[in-house]
Amino acid sequence: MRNLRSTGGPKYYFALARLVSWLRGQDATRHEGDPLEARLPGAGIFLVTGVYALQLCDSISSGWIQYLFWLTLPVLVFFLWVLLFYLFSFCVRALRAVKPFSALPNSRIQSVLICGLTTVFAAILTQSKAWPRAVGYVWMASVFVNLAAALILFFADGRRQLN
Amino acid sequence: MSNGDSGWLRDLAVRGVLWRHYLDWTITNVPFYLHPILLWFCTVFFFFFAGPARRSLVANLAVVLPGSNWFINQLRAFRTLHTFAWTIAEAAVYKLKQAEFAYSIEGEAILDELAAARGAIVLTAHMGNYDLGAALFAEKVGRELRMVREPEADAKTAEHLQASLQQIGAGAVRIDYNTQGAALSFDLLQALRNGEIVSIQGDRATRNAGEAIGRIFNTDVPLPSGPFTLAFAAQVPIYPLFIVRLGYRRYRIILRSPLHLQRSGPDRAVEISQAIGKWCRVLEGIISQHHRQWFAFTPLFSRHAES
Repeated sequence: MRNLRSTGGPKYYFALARLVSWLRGQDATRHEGDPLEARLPGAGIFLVTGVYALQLCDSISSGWIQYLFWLTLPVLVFFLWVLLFYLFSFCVRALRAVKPFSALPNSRIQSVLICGLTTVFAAILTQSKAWPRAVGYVWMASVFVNLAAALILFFADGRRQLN
Repeated sequence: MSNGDSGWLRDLAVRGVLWRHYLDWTITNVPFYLHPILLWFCTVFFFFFAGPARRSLVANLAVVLPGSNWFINQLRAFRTLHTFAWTIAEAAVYKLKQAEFAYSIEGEAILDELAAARGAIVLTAHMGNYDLGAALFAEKVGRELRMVREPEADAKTAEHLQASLQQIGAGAVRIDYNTQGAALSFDLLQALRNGEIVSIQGDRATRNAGEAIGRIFNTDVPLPSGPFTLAFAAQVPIYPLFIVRLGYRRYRIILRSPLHLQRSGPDRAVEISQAIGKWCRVLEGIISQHHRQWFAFTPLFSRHAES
């Protein structure tokens, strides 16, 4: 019988939060139990994708088509991601043949692909004007800080869990 | 059972197996931090496409919260469907990823008493995560649990659910369906006499089981009489137990004082009727407190009997 027990102290998934835990002398192992981590990055991914799609639509259409697009944008972004999850699952199968990915669970490899694509969208947004640029920069900064934290953990803690 | 187009369409129906497979696939393949958004969109989809379930929730809420606004009850129904989505998703997370869940217990002394009981009925409701709760309970008390369930409308969904429950319970939860009529009653009676613990959902009478009329929220409601008849026949206590969701991967097990049906009482019918009355008070209290987690997807209250 598996042990279904209290999770005890806080544990995190993303490298930055794990680094903070590690600096405080707490457990820095990867864990999916933090409610904030379960909500914030997903909202960020949908926000970056939505803003990118909005920019794209503004540049190629006008009038009522644009309004219709704005109205249906959340649903379109949802279906886009559902389709991408399915397409990425084929990439995951292919990547399984490569050594660093062979031991990782499917969701971790998908995470790399999803965050990679979102970062591409964010990088394009940083080239735009006004507030969409800010959205792009915030995402890029989050990714950079998280990767830096992953590197510190990799060398300092020796856990070798790159995010 | 299923053939051709009708089989495929049945899989796609609201209670079809396709959604269960999609959920399992998502849990395995999609990172956990995207689950909340996906669950929210799925709730929006089912809010519109599972019309009968939504209408039942609204109708039941009108009785639970008298004088409540119809529009606000629609929003409450959305919240209930969203919580339901979370509970089945978290049961799948536990099944497929062996994730850790935090839990607290309200009534720990009663749980200890139940763990030591020689034969007992756990009476629960369609509330919170009763599938995960059964596994949690069996693990916590270190005993096997027999769980009596209402059969699923779709055969493939029932098959999938059966396999999932067995995987979640890791062999400690045995499932029986209340379609087997008298044979199941005798089997359960024997199990209780052998000292086993039997879990039954007591907030909804089903087609194939005996029913008794209880009264909650000043309204008559048909409830299953089987648990009370069994408790009387086997002379075992009934423990009201509920598992409610507190938040992301956090649950609370709530236990209430056991109901005892004595043979020395005035007569069998009176004894059972009194126990049903007590169960109704417990049910009313817990539903009042956690109505957002009461997954009553069929209309339960007999309108004609309102006083």
